[in-house]
Amino acid sequence: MDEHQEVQNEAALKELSHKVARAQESRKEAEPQVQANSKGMALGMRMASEFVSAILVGGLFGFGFDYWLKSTPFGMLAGLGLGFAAGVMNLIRASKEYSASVPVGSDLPPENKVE
Amino acid sequence: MSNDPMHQFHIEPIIPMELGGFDISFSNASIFLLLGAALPAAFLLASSAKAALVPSRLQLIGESAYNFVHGTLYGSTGQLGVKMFLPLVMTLFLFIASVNAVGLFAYDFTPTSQIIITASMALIVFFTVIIVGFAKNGLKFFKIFFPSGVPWPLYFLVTPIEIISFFSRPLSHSVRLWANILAGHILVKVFAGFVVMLSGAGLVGIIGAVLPFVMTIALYALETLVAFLQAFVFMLLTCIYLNDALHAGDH
Repeated sequence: MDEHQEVQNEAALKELSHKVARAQESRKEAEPQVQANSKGMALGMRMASEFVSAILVGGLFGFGFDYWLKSTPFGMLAGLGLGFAAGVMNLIRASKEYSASVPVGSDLPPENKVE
Repeated sequence: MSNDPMHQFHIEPIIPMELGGFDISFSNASIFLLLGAALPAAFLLASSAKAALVPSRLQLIGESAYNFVHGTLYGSTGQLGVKMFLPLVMTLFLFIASVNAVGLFAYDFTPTSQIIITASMALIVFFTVIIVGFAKNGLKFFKIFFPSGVPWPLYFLVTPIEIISFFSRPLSHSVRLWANILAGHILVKVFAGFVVMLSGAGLVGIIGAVLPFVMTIALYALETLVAFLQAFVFMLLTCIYLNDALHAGDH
């Protein structure tokens, strides 16, 4: 009886170690993918701050250049323009990340869902 | 209790101290910052004390918190990122979440409503990205300013934009958390103040006070959501930024 149990235990242990090995293998293979699922308001706040902060930093850089090169106000003008472009780019990046995480059509009503 | 909605953000020294001309008083902010460090530590210690195969309820919560952070970090940075950054990301998440949760209670101070706190955390992440980025990629880290697949004359335009975009990260990272918490707490306080003011104006006022009271409850529920959501968003963006540090080459 005892021997029988031991054999059984060994088999169970072996199976478990196989399972662990397989799980570790699959983890190694899995590609990291950006997943970003945030609720609507958080998403809105993120977009807004993403856009505004780029303009602020761009303006600040421009102001710094002006201070350094005594070229008021052209540095700041250029900085604000570049900051605006950077803000738009931030927005595009953030929304790309978001759309990558939300499959196409997952927000549609059930009757016309895209499969 | 004053009716001023900004009163809750005042920092009052409890044990006045000074070091080399700097005010380092132990204030109400210090208490809640210490609490923000102590609560996650106590939570994790308590939930992992038994480490039973069949988890107790507390252990289950602790394990899900760990799994949640681990899953988010693994999803955006992969195995290497988990190895390097799990302590940092887990600390940030648990600290922000517990500090926000504690701040929801009346008379409590919320450290994340001070931009210096959120800015310091965002700058820690920012400098971690820069240091790890240079350590891992060397000069190839500059590639994040030179996206591939662009005709070379455009670099004169694209590179400044990328640089501004990179430096705008700590700003947007810190302002988001700070503004959410600050605005939410002010709103709740303003509506709660209406209740007190109206109910002081006789029977009609008390009936009218029902409306702002309902609003306060609704906003409070929203704030509870925001407290945890913002902790999550802060962590998620930290993961995304850290991913850039590890994989700057394939931008």
